[in-house]
Formats: sequence, C-alpha cells, structure tokens
Amino acid sequence: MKKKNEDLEKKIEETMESLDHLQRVEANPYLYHKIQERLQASAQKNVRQSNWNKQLGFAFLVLLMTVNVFTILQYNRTNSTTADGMSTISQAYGWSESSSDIYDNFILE
Amino acid sequence: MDEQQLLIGLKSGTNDSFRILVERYQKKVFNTCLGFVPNAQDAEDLCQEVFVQIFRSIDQFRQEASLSTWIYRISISKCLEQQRYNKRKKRMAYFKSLVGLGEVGDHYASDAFDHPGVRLERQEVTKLLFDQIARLPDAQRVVFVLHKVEHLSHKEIGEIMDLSKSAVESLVFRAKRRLRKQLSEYYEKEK
Repeated sequence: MKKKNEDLEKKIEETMESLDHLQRVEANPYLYHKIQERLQASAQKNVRQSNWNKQLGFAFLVLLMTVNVFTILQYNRTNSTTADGMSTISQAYGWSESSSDIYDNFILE
Repeated sequence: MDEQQLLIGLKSGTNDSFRILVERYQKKVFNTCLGFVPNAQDAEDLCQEVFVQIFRSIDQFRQEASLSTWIYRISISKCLEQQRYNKRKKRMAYFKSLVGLGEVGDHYASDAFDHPGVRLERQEVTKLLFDQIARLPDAQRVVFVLHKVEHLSHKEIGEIMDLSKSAVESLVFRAKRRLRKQLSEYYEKEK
C-alpha cells in the first residue's frame, strides 16, 4: 500500500516537473509578413463590406421610393372610385349633391 | 530604439516601428500562446491575432503599465478567448454526435498536441499536464502558465493581472494543489 502511494507520488511529481524541461521556441521568421498580409486582407474586406453596405442602402432607397410611388398612385385611384360610388348612391336615393342637405331635409320632415 | 521612441513611432503609424515591435516581442507572445494552446499552428494564428490587435489598439495604450505588460494582457485575453471557443466547439461536436449529425467520436478529438518545445520522450507526460492545466479555473491557469512557462516573477504576474504579490502566490499554490489532485485522480483511474 505504502509502495503504491509512493509510486503514485513519484508519477505526479514527474508530471508536474515536465514543464521544467520545456524549451523556448523561436517564432516563425516570416511572422511579420504574415501579420502584414492579415492586416491588408482585413482592410480589403472592410472596403468590400463598406461597398456592399452602400449598394444595399441604395437598393433599399429605390425599394422605398417604388413602394411610395405605388402607394400614392393606388390612393389616388381609390379616391376617384369612392367619389364615383358616392354620386351613384346619391342619385339612386334622390339626395342632393351636398352632403349636409340630406340631414337638413330629414330634420325639416 | 527604446520603448518610448517605439511607442511614438507606433502611434504615428510607422511600419518600421511595428516591424521592430513584432521582432522584439514575437518570441514572448508565441511562447505564451503555446503555454495556453499547445499546438504550433494554433499558437501562430493566435500570435498573429495578438499583433493585429496591438496594431489596431495602440492608440488606446495609455502607458499606465509597461508595453510588455500590455502585450501580455492582450496575449492572455486572446488565448482565453480561443480556449473558450475550442471548448464550445467540442461541446457542439458532442451534441451533434448525440443527434447523429456528426461523426461518432468527434468530441473526443482534442486539439492535437504539437508543442515544438517538448522533447519526443516527454510528449506523453507533458500532454497530460497540459490537459490538466486546461481544466484549471481561468485565474489559476493564467498564473500557473506565466509562472511555469514564461518564468515570470510573482511581482510581474501581479502587474499583468492587476493583483497583489500575495494574491498571485496564493493562486500559484492553489493551482499546484489542484493539479496534483487532478493528476492523482487520473492515475488512480488509469490503474
């Protein structure tokens, strides 16, 4: 039992000491160039992203304007249709064109 | 070129100053990264990220600490970020394998141990120690790596981590105790 514990302690000690034998390593001699490449790639990506954002913004603006024009046209068309409908109803019931007359006539009666 | 001249050059965006900075600190940064991520390729990627971060945020450096301390802080923060990312990736691989989306055993594939500073005959035991270090809480792990891999003094570690010397000593002590416990459990299970 005692021997087992000693073996275990020895193994733990050896493992703990393994970092003492670690050697310092030289970095890649081309590290600076690789960093430069990464910085340039990142700058190009930013430019592409910025261009894409501009294009996206322009497309959104065009879409917004199209929707606006469409809505205005639709609104005008609906208004003229409603006005036509109102005059048809007025004629059918024999009301005069001015809306207030309907109530005036009703009160007098 | 002394540190002050280097900083002036860096802040004015001179390429030459940045090259000198990289040459001066690359070994420190690379070995620190290897201490957290013991894989040469991953450590080199991290090392590049550290210098890119330095290049981008040099204007924010207020010289409250030394340049070396600031570089160590950036390196540590990048390394911890990478370790968290690796852990998340492993967890995702595990869940994917559970629902049948990934290969069986994907989550067991740890990041390959490839520390160029470890001699072949010590690979196995050193890998085991690095695996156990990765299981330590963040503060204990940082202190232990800086002390045992970078051979920094408790005072220097205290400056990097913004801790008192006694707090660093306590963290080193706790890290060692915990590592011994983890290793003991590992070897007991191995029997």
